[in-house]
Amino acid sequence: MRFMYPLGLLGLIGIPILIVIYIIKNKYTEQIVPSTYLWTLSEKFLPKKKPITLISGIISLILQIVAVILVSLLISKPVITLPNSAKDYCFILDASGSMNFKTDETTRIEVGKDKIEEIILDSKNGSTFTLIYVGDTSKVVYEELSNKDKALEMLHDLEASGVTVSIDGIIAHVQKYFNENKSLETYFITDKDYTSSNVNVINVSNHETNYAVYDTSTMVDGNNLKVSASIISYENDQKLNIEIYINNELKTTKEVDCVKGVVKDFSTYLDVTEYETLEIKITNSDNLDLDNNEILFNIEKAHEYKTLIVSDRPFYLTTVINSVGNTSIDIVSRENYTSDFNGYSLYIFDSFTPNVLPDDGTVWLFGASTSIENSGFSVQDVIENEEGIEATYPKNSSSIYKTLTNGLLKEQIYLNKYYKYGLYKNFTVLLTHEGNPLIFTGITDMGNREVVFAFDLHDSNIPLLMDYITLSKNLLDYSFPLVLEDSNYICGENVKVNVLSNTDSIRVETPSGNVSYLDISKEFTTFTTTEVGIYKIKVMKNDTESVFDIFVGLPLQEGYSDSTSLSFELTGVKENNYRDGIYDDLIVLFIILVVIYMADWMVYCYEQYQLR
Amino acid sequence: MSKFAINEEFLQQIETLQVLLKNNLAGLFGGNHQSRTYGSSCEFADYRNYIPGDDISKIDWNAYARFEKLYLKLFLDERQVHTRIYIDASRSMDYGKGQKAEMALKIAAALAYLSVCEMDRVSVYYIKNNKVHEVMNNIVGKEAFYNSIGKLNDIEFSEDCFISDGILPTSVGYGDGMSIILSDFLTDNDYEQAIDYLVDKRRDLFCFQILSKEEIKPNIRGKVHFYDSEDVNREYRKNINRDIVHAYNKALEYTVNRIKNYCLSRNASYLLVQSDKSVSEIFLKQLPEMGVLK
Repeated sequence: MRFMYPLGLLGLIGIPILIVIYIIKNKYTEQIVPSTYLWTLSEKFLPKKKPITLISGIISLILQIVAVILVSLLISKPVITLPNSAKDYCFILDASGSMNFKTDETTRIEVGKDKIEEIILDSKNGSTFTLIYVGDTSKVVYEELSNKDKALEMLHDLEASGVTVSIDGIIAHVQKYFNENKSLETYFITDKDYTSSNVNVINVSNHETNYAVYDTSTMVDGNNLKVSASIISYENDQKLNIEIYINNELKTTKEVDCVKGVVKDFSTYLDVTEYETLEIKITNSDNLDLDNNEILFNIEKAHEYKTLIVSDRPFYLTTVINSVGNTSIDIVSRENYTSDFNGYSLYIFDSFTPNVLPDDGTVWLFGASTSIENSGFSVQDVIENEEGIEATYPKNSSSIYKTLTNGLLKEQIYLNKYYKYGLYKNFTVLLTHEGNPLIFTGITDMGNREVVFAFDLHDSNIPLLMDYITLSKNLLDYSFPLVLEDSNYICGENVKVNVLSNTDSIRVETPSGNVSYLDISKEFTTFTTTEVGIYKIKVMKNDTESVFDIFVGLPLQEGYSDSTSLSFELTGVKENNYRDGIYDDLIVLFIILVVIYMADWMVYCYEQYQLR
Repeated sequence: MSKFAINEEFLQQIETLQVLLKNNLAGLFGGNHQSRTYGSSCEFADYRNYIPGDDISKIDWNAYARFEKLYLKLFLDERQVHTRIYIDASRSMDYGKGQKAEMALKIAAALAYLSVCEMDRVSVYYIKNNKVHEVMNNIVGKEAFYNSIGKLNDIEFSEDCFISDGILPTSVGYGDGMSIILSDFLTDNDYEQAIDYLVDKRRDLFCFQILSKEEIKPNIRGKVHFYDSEDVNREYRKNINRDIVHAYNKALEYTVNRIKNYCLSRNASYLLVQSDKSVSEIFLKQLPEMGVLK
């Protein structure tokens, strides 16, 4: 045994001091009495003393001496060395979605954490702990930490994610620790059917009941909406009760007989054709709530736009936009247009050159005859040819070019007249004539998207081509970029968020309420889903907030953890060369000290009672 | 009279009392105590046939006129008794706030006064170590009482007291009155022999056990080291607690019963007196209730 602070033993000096004080304090009061006869005689009538009463006179002193000894020991912190008893532990905590299975309000990951806590508490002081968390991210929570309290505190903060995890990388990581220390005690806490000869696998699965719904889809069929989904009961044959909600109102219920482990495709018709939200829910109680429902959000409904067309002959434009666009249209003649028009997502100037470009929406320019400030190009000349000018598609391998020309048949386009523009910004040119840009896209100086046709539609054969519709749709998609292109994801997937022009911020709120802000410096940004449920993406643009909801579902394989099995080994032979443990748990001494002080206090009270 | 302060008023109160003796008296004639023998008092006792030689002045001539036989009229005798009072003069009787000595002297003075009022003789002794010392001897009459009673103040309470060793060698008389022992009887020393001796001498014996209030109900707790006032070599060192006080009460009960039962077994009277009680209560209430005084 050694002492961390040997000077604390100086407190033992208190013992002789205590004895001296006790002797002085407890001096007998001398007194002459008429006769000691009765007192002496009373000895015969005293009850026989029990052994404990023999020390009753000095029990208070004994207690106080013991207390002084304990206080000295507490100060000096005795440490007892326990040879070859302290181990180095490495815990791998599976925090995949299936660890959310819950039995009696206790999730599998909580059971796993309890197991780790037991091991930590049972370990000898001097042991070290490494914890690898395998969830939405794989991270080393702590490495060779010897402070048990800290290890437990950091363990308690961990929660299960909603993702599926692969342990391959983790095994490689653990192998590195094992190579450095062949006596490493490795524990893998999981609910999967993993086996290993040199890793202690603690399986916290209890084969709990679970039902799941996934692959929900809708299709408009006449005046009805066909809702389809797949449902499954993993552990037993069960009649499942299905509820379908449209815009949070119960629309219909259905019972579906499920055979254990067999996917049941299910469909039903609803007397609606559109919705903002559609939720399909299994109401039977099971041990995992996360896969009992699925929600579809109408992403297009959330992306409605307004378009202003400035034209005296808007037929070609309105026709194609109405057919492929998701937008309302306002039309104003060239004569009536002023720069006071605003609040539109798209401004189309057909054979009209505005003095100032709008600053709050995408701009389409057809045959702008003069240069416009902030447009990024200048008008240099007018090219005319009555016999027709043949336009050509340039070679371009950029992704945006591919996107904008996606689906085009690249039919031959002829023009009678076009304006020769000089581009002094970076544009994506879709169509040229002898190097002169005929159709190009880019960004205005105000940050808005810009589509420029160097000619009037009426001076070309484009409106008569099949490519007109495809090109218009591609350009509309470019002009009205969806903030989100899908409303349903599987946990762990990346969500792409398009950054619209003039976007101030994009705020992502997870189902558990965690908030983060995305980078808006690029045209699009992504984030990885780590939780199951509804994410809320709030886009601030021109002081206007738009909220988009997406539903993130549990990966299918996480609903039935027993389906995942793997046998793995760490390379190398395990050794048992443990380090020396220490015993320095002073709480016992502290408790004894408190008990002794209480006993001393009781003795004092009893003495006072005796002296009444 | 300063030390034990028996005042005139008290003496006048108890003057009307009379000590009742149990035994047939063998004292001298002339006292106020009726004897079981026939004597010359005015109190008629019985008749008996005349026997030649009897005093013819005691023949009841009225009876002769009626029965024509000579009968002698007998009267009870009245004797003078000798009251002997023994005071324990050990140190324990006069230490601290006990006031036992003062009570002993008061009782002795009062009893002596009662005796002289009965025209009895009174002797007062104190016992120190193993000797009986005389304080007053054969006092008769109030004047002699008043002249001698002051000697009680001269008794010095010190050293030890061996009652039997003191009384046995002395002359205690025979059937001629009452012997009174005033002591705390807190001793292992023998006092039973003295009691037996006095009883054998046909003395009416009265033992007053005088104890202080502190001795009857000690109010001491905690760690104490007692030294005996009579012998410093006798000591007692203890942490006084409830158990010890309980044992002390049992020891006190044992001690009181020892002397009390012994007295009862010898037809002697016994009274436990707490030293702070008033003498008036003892003489006007307790003793009359016991039938010792009337």
